[in-house]
Amino acid sequence: MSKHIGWCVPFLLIIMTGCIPTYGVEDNAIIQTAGYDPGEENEIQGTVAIPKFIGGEEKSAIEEQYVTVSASSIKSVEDQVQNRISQPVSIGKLNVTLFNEELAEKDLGQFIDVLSRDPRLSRNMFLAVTKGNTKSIIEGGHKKGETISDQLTGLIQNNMNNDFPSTDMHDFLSSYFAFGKDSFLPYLKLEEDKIVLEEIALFDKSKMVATLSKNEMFVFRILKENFNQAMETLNFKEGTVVLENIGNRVQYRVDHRDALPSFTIQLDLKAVINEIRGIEHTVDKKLITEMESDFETYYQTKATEVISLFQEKGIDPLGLGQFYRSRTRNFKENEWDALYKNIPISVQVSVSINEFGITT
Amino acid sequence: MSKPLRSSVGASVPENLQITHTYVFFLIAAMQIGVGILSLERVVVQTTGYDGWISIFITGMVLHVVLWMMYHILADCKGDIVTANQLVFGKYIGGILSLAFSLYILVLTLNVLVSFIEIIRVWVFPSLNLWIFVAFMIALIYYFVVGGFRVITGLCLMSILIGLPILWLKFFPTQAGDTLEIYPIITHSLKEILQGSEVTLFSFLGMELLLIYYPFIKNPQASKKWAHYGVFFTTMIYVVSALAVFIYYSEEQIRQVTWPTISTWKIVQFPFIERFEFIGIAMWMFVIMPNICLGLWGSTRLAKRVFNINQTYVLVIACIVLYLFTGAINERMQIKVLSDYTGNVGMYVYLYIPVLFILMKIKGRWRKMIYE
Amino acid sequence: MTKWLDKLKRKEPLNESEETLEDLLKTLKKSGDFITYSLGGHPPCTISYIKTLSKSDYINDFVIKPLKNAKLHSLKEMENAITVENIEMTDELSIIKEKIMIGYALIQSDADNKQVLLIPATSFESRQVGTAEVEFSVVGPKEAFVESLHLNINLVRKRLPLPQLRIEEQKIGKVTNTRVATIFIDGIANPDNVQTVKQRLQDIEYDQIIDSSFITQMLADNSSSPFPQLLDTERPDRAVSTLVEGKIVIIVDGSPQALICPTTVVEFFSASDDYFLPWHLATVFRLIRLFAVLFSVLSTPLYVAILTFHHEMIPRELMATIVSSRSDIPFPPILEVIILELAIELLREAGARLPTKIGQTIGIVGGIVIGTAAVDAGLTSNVLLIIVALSALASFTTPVYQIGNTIRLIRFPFIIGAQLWGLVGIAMVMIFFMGHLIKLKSIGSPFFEPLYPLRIQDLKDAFIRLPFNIQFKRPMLTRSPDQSRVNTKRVKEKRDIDE
Repeated sequence: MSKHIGWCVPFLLIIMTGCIPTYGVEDNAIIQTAGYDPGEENEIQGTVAIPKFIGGEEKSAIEEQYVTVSASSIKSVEDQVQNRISQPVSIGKLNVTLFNEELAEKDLGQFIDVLSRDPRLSRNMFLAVTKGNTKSIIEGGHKKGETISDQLTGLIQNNMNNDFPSTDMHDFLSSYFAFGKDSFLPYLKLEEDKIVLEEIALFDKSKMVATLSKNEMFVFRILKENFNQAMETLNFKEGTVVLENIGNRVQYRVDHRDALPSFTIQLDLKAVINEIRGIEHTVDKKLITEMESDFETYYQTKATEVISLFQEKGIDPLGLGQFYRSRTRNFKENEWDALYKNIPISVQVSVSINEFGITT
Repeated sequence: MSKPLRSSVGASVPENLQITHTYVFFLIAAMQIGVGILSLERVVVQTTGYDGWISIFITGMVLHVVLWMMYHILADCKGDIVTANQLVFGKYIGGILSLAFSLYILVLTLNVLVSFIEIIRVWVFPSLNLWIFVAFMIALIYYFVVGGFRVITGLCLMSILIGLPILWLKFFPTQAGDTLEIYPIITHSLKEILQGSEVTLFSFLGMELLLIYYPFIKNPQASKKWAHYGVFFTTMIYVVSALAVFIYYSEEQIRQVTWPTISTWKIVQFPFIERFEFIGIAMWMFVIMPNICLGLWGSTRLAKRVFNINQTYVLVIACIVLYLFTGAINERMQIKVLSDYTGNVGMYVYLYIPVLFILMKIKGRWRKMIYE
Repeated sequence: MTKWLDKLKRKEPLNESEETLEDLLKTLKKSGDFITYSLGGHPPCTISYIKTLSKSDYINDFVIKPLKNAKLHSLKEMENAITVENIEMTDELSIIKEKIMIGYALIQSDADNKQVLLIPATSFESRQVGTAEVEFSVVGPKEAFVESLHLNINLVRKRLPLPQLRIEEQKIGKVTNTRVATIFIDGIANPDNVQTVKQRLQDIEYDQIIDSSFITQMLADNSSSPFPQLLDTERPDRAVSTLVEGKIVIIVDGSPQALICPTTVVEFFSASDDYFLPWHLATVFRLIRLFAVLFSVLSTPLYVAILTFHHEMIPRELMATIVSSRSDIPFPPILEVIILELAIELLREAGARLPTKIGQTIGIVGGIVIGTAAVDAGLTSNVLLIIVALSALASFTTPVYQIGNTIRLIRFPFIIGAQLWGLVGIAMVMIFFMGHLIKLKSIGSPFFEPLYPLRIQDLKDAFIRLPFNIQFKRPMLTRSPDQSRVNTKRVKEKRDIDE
């Protein structure tokens, strides 16, 4: 027995050293952020950010290396980046992928295909559309002690705790592939040297067709999902009121007794008043009731506006088609698109303000 | 009074090698759950869409009937498949059938090994040195199979105990998804659903090994209940797993994903670790190991029973065969052909069991009449 | 090589050369401590004994004095005159030889040529019973076994005042003739197990049994396994408690460690403390210990696997910490790990060989100085240093020393597996050890019980320890003929509120 073990050891060592080429984690060029811009003549220009972590005393100093290449396909972007870098490229930790608005308006089809196939990629990755060059966002965003990917992930994640509907690559892909549902992405822009997330880019299949502004973003979110954060400033009488959402409930209902189905969106919003400015009245029950009915009409009009925008553009980020399909037997998929634009969709809002005037 | 049917040498097993009847649960469930479950959802969606879980359920229910038949066959012949085949078809044809069965199980084993290595190559190590890796795997498998049936039963038990926690990972996709996609239930025709059942059968293969290890069960009558629990357990795991995956993906999307289950592991993250697919795939080795070991044991055991030769020698040969084939089959298309082929043969095996059951019953009746 | 072994086997060590009593005495006389002198009298008789084994003053007081003054003509009369119990009269050479060698005094008389008297005068020189050092516990009994079989059995006996307590002695070892006692409780221990143990002890064919660990290795069902298959303990209380469970204890003369069999792998991770503390505390501590073992075995392999192959698994926030600590290290993770693990093993070995005080110093010097220096020099990363130190610490939490060694060793196959195929490699090694444990047996009983065979009933004292009032039954592992631990009639009935 011991004789066998004897020749096993050198055998093992040979295998260990000669089996798979191995690098430690620090020997990899770990791409954390990638951005795609339109290049010359149908080429795409890819920019990647690779952080360099510096050892020793000052751990906070992180340098970043940016590489920009032009290539005809996404895979060859990776290939070309490899040609310009001394270390093996690893895309397993890619956190954020940005698309130039122009590319998004044209078509993101080929990107989606690659993103949904590559097993190395994370499904929790964030995708975003940028106004202007992604290159300038990636290269301009580096702050002391923070990589661009830290910044962008932080920005998107924080806003998802606020008024931005939850998004990541999986959400994007699943609504892209789903029937009767269209996807959306964060829309980033550079203001001075700050990256700002204030808008939503709406997609029709793989093409970006519209954006929603800051105000509509909140309405869109309460129409889309139940959540319990986010603040919004609203005009009331002569001043402004800051409303904090402490839990909303949205329900879709469909009535298909007629040939043309009609949708009702029931929206219950529970909120607290955070701040009141410029209003002379003392805050009492009566004023609150007034506020509630005022906001109800406000949200109703806003929501109707947003929904009619969707219908006009023929996009369905709320997933009404998916909802309708799930409630209908013998659903005919090819008829839906034509139907959607003309469907009556009514929104019923009820706002209840739970707390006010508490001083601490 | 019917004369006790003759049983050939080796059909009876000494008591110290037998296992308690409750382990049949683990043997059945562990052998059924293998690589099939990782791609089950995609396969079933291609024919049945999001009604696929109904197909899975139906397959499970049908298998209960097949299991019932198997127990009848085994109880009537008081032995294993070799005794049954000999009784019904005579020594030579029966022997050939038993050998074919043995070969089928070897192919089933090969299929599991090959599919698992493909997963490793796609997800973890694209440049895996196949020959060395397979050599280590086979050495490990040999070590276990040489330990005998009791050790393999232990592996089955451990695989269920360790494999179950992996299923908790299914909780994460249900959080991220939407139940809307599943509704409305039953939009497909009965024919489509049954077609779906047919393709899911591949994931349920492995139950038929009961025909081989039946003599190893201490109290076969009491084990019946546990065998049915085992099949039911597998069915439930598959249904729940399919539902979780259906919630997470949209229907069109799932067609694009080769291994939906592994893809859902990706989204699991904790502050200290993320990307659970690596852990999942590594842990999946615990799930496929008893598959391969039991398969190899069953296949070689049949050869031993038919030819009355030393099982160790057959095992060595089977290991070498397995090694060479696993090393040689490494392209996606070859693997697909192999699993389609295995699935088809499995289908025939499950058709063959009812035939054997009926013939067995007729023979028994006939015997009874003669003796009366 | 096997031929050579065969030759060795066939040869009998130390041929029985002494044919007669005279030959024996002649051989003995060559040693300086063998004393023979004539007592005079009619007919003259001689007394002989080994000075270093017998109590000289005892012989003087109780043997020589009564013989000197009396006129005795036969051995029979002498036997009556000597006021010592258990005198034997025999003419069998083998018995004479055996008794002399353990300190009996021999009296020959010219009147009776063949017969001799054997007077027990053995001196039980032994270390005092001390406190348990390896298996120290804060609460509970402090006594530990010593090197004397006599004393050790006394320690067991006084805790078990029970006529059914059986002690069976065997002599093992061609040269050392070591006394080995098999202890069990009649009616509680399974007779089959007792038979197996006695048979295996009898089958041992070796010249020396120096310590109980020899027996452990020779009794093991699989001697090539890194896992000890007999539990050793230096605590009499633990030995007694296992006896009551229906297990068998083997005590070897000259060894302060008793062996317990059959045992299971989880028993190696249970400490006596677990039974002295309330059950919930004990359960938590036991779980912590099991976690520590897993951590100790798996932490460095996981480090190698993740840093070499699966860096996608490191979360973004942790990435900076790990990468920046590794950025100056010239070696791949595997070399880094092997260097540090070997350094720790070195320290441990050095600490074990040196006297306590120096050992401690070495530990501190090695741990702090070498560790910091290695990090400063950029040879290892501080993340790894923390992991290795913690895993070394975790491996010390095992209550049984033997299994601690095993854990030290099996870490290395895991590291190799991790370097070969990352997490898949670790899983492969893990399956190997799991299968190995499933295969293992301890004196014919499954070693991996209660996991396989799955015995729900035995799980109540395996990974967790449930309160005593739930543990009605003895472990199924021992297959005890008397299963019930309590008089079920007297067990309190459940009460309703306010009764």
